[in-house]
Amino acid sequence: MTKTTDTQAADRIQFAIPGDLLSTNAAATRGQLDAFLGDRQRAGGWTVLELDLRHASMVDSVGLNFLVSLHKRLAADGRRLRVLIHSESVKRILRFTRLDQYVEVAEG
Amino acid sequence: MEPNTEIVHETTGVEESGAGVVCSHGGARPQEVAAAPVEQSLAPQTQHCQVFPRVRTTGVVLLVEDDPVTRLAFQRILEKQGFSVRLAASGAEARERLWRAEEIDAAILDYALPDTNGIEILDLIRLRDPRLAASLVTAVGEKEIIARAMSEGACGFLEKPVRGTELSREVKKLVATTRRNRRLANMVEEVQQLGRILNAYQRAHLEEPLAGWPLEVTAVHHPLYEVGGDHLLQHQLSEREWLLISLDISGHDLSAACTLAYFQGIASGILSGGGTPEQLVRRFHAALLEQNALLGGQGALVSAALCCLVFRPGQVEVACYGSPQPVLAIPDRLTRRVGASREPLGWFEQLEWNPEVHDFPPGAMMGLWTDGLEDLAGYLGIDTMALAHTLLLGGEKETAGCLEDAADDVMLVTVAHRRADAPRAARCGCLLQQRYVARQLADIDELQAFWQRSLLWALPSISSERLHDILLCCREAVINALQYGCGAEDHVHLEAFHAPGTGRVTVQVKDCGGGHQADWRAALEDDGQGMREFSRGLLLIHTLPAAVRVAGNGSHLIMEFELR
Repeated sequence: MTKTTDTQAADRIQFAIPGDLLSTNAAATRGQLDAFLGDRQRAGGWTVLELDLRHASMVDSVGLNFLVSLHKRLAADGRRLRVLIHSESVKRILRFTRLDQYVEVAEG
Repeated sequence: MEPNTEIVHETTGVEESGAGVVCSHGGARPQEVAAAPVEQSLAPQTQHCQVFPRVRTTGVVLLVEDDPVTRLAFQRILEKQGFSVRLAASGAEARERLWRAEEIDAAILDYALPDTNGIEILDLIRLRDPRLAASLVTAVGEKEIIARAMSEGACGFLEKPVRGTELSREVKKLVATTRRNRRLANMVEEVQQLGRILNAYQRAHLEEPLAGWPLEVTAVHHPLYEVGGDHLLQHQLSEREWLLISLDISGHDLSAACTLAYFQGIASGILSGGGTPEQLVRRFHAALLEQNALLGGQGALVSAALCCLVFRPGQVEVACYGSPQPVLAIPDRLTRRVGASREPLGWFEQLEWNPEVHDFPPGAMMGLWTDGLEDLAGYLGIDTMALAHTLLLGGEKETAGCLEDAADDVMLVTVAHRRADAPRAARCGCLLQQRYVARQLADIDELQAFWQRSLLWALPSISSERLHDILLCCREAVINALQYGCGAEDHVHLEAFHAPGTGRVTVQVKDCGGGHQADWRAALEDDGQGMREFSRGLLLIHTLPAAVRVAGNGSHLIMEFELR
C-alpha cells in the first residue's frame, strides 16, 4: 500500500513508500506512482518529486533500477528526484551504486 | 442381586425388597437429620455399623445425598456389602469430606443438592483426587446432565429410582476403577523415576569424552518425556573404526522404553562380540518386525529412526533409516546433507544396507539430530542449522529458552576430529543450509523473511546494517541463480556459516549453471551520466561484502561479511 502526501511547498510533491523497495513490489509501486503523477501532471507547477523511503531498510537491484528510471523520466521533463531516507543500509547502497551522484539524497 | 437385603424403614415408608431397594428422591426429610452438621450426621452410621457389622472392608465410599431417607437406604446397602460409607448431605459437607486425609475409593453424587450440584462436586474431585472414580445420580431422562457429567469425568450414572443391585454394582465398578487408576499412576511414577535415572545415565554418557577416541563428540540431549525417546550409542569397533548411532524410537510409552532397552542389550552383545553395525541394525529391524507382528495390527506400529555413522581415518560411512540426513561440513566446501534416507526400521520386511562413504578430512564436522530438532525449528520458523548453532554454542539460558517450545525429544550431535589446536567453537557455525528450485523464485520475500529470522535467532546481536547487507546479497544471488543459473528442477544451494571467533559470516550461493560473462565493473565505469540500467544486483554483491570470491564463472559465489 502506498501513501501519498502533498507537501506545503508549491514546487514539490511527495510520494511515500511504506516499506522496502524490492523486486516483488517495484511494479506495483510504479503503477501507483504513475497514477499519482498523472493527477499532478495535469495540475503542473511542481519541479521536485520527493520519494519518501524513510520506512525502507532495503532497496534491491530492481528497486535501484526503479529509481534510475524515475530519475531519467523526471529529468526528461525538466524535473528532479529527491530521495528521503532513514536507513544507513539504504544510504550505503545508494552510495555504492553511485546513485547518490545523480539523485539528491536527504537523510531524516 | 441382594437376596438377603430386607429392610423396612418404618418412619419414612421407603421399602426395600428382596429384588433391591427402591428409593425416591424428595421423600420425607426428618428435621433433625437435615439440620445436623456433618459430624452429627455421621453418628447414625456408626450405630448402623453395629447393627450391620462389616464382613470385610471393600472400600470407602463417599455418598453425597441430601435426602436423608435415600441416604440411609444407600448407606445400609453399601455397608452390608462391606463398604465403609462416608456421608455428606450437601456440597459443603462433600468438600469437607474430600479434603480430609482419608482415602476414598468411590463417590456416589446426587445431582440435585441444596447448595450445589453433583457436577460441581465432580470438579472438586478432579481437583482433589483425579484418580477417584465417581458416578452421578439423576432423575430419569436427564440426558443433558448425564452427558455433561460424563464429559466432566464421571465414570457412570444412576437414574432414580435406584435399585440396590444397581447401586452395589456401580460402587464395585467405581472402587475397581479408582484402584486401577491408582495402580497405573503408581506405575507411571515408577517408570518416570526409572526414566529420569536412564536420562541421567545418558547425559553423563554424552558429556564424558570417550577415552582413546580421535573424535570429539558434542551432544545436546533434551528428553521431553521420561520414557522412550532418543538415544545415542558410541562404540569403538576396532583400532581404526568408531561407531556412532543415533536412535529415535516411536512413542514415549513403556513399549518404547522396552524397545530401547532391547536395542541397548543387543547392541552391547553384538558389538562387544565382534559383530558389525549391519548385523546390529538387521537384528534390531527383525525384532521390530516381530514385535509389530505380535501386535497383529493392534495399537501403534513400533518403529525406529536410526542413523549409523562409522568413522575411519579420513572417511565416514553413513546409513540412514527414517532419520533426518546428517550434515557434513568440510572447510571450503558447501555444507551438505549426506546419506540418502530410507524408511524407518520396523516398517517393511526389506532392509537395504549400502551406506554412503564420504571424505571426512581434518577440520570436517558431521552434525546429526533426531526429528525433534527439525520440528522445533519448523515451529520457530527458522533454519534447523540456526537452531543447532544456538544449542551447541549458547549458554544454558539460551538452550533452555530454545527448548521450552519443544514438542518432542531433541537430540543433536556433532562429530569432529579431536584437535588440541582448534577450539570446539571454531568447528561449528552453519546458520543456513537451504536448497531451492526455480519455482520458489515467486516466494523470494518469504525466503528472505526466513533467512532474517534464522540469522537473528543465531546472531541476536548482529547490527541491522550488517543483517540487511547479508539479506540483500543473499536475495540478489539467489534470484540470479534461480533465474539464470539452473533448470526447472535443478537446485540452488544457499549456505551461511559463522565461525565464532572469526567475527565473519560466510555466505555461499551455488547453482549448477555455467556462470555468466557479465562484467559489472565495466558496466559501472561505462555508466556515466546516462545511468544505464544494468544488473545492479552484481554490483551490490561485489560491493557490500568485505570480500567476494567467485568460482565456476560466477555460478558459485562466496561472500564474506564482517560482523564487527
